[in-house]
Amino acid sequence: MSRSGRMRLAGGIALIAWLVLPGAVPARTVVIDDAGTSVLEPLVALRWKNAAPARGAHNDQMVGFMTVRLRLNVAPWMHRTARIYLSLPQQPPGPMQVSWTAQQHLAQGEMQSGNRVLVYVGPIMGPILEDTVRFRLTIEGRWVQHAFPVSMQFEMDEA
Amino acid sequence: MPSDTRPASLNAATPAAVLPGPHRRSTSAVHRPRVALAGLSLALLASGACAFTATLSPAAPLTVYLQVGVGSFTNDYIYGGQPENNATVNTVSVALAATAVGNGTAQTMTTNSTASMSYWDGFAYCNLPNQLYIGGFYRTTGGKATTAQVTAQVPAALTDSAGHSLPFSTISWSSSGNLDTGAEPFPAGTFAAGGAQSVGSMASNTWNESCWTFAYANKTVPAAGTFTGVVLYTLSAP
Repeated sequence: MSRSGRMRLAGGIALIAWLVLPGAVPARTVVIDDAGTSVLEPLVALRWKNAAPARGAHNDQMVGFMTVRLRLNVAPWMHRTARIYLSLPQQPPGPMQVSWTAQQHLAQGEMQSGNRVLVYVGPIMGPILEDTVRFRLTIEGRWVQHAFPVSMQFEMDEA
Repeated sequence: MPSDTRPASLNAATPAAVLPGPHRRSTSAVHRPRVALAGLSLALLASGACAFTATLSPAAPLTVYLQVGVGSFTNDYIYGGQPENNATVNTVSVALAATAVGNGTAQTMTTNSTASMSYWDGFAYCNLPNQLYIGGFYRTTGGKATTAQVTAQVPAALTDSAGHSLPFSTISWSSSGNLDTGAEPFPAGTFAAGGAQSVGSMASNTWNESCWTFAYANKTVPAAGTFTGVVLYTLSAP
C-alpha cells in the first residue's frame, strides 16, 4: 500500500469513528403531557415595567406575572434519568423574555422566546411530576395591541 | 435560532449529553426501531395536553402624567418612583412699581412653585423662582408612535375686584432647561386670550419637560389693582 493509500485508510477509519460513536444514541425530544396543569391567573395583567418612560427615548417594556400549577405525566420515563426542558416557542405578537422560579423540583431560569432551558435532570420516581412555578413575562409594549395567548411546553430528551 | 441554556443549578449534569435544538428527530435507517418506539410513545401521549397557555392582557396600557408646577412622585423615576396626584395650583406673579407701569419693559414673573427638580432623575432642571416646571409622559402600547397634546384653557382676561381687566395675551413665556438639548417639548409662547391653545406635545413613551419663564408685556397703563386669572392645562392622549 502506498503512503497515500495508508493515509486514506486511516482517514476513513477516523471518519467512521467520528460518525458512529457520538451518533449511536441520538437524543430525541418528546413533548411531555401536561394535562392537569393549570394557570392560576386566567388573564395575566401586563403592566409597564417602569411607570414612566426614559427621558427623550423609548422605553416601553411591559411585565406580567403568572403562577402555574404544573402536573407533568412522566410515567413513560419511570425509573429512568430524565432531562426535562421548558420551551417557549417563537409566537405572536413578538419576542418575549420569561424568567421563573419553582417551589419544588424544577430549576429556576430565564430565556428568550424561541429557546428552551434545562429545568430538571434526575431520576423519575413517580408517574406525575408536580411543581408550582412562578413566571415573569416581559415584552415590549410596541408589540402589544390586544390580549394575546402565550404557550409554553415541557420537553423530554430521550437518549 | 433555538438554543439550549443549562441552568446554573444543574451544572453537575453531563454537558456532553446536551444536544442543541428542541426539534431534533432521528430518521436514519440505522435507528428505525428507536423511531418506531418513539412513535408509539407519542401516540400514547397524544391523548393529553402538551402545552399550557395563558392569556396576557395589557392592564392600563394608556398612562398619562402631566405636571405644571409642583407634582408628586413616590421617588425619582429611575429609582422606581411612581406618579401620584397633586392638586396644588401654583401661581406666577409680578408686582410693578408705580413708576414702571406701562413703560414697555417686559416684567419677569416669578412662581411660588417649589418644583425645580425633574422627577425623572432628581436633576435640578429649573431655576426658582423664575421658572415654572412643566413635564410629563404619555404611555401607550402598540408599534405606532403617537403624540399627546397639552393645551391651555385661557380666560379672556385677568381681572381685579373692581371689575377691571387685562388681556391674558399680555403674558408670554420663554422655554429652556438646565443642560437641555434640542427643541423644547413645551416651547415659548404667548397666551391666546379667551380660548384653548396648544402649548406642547409629548411623543409616546418619552419623558418630556421644560422650564417656563413668564413675563408681563407691560405696554399699557391699567387701573391700579391686583389682577388674577387661572389657566387650566390639559394633557390629551389619542
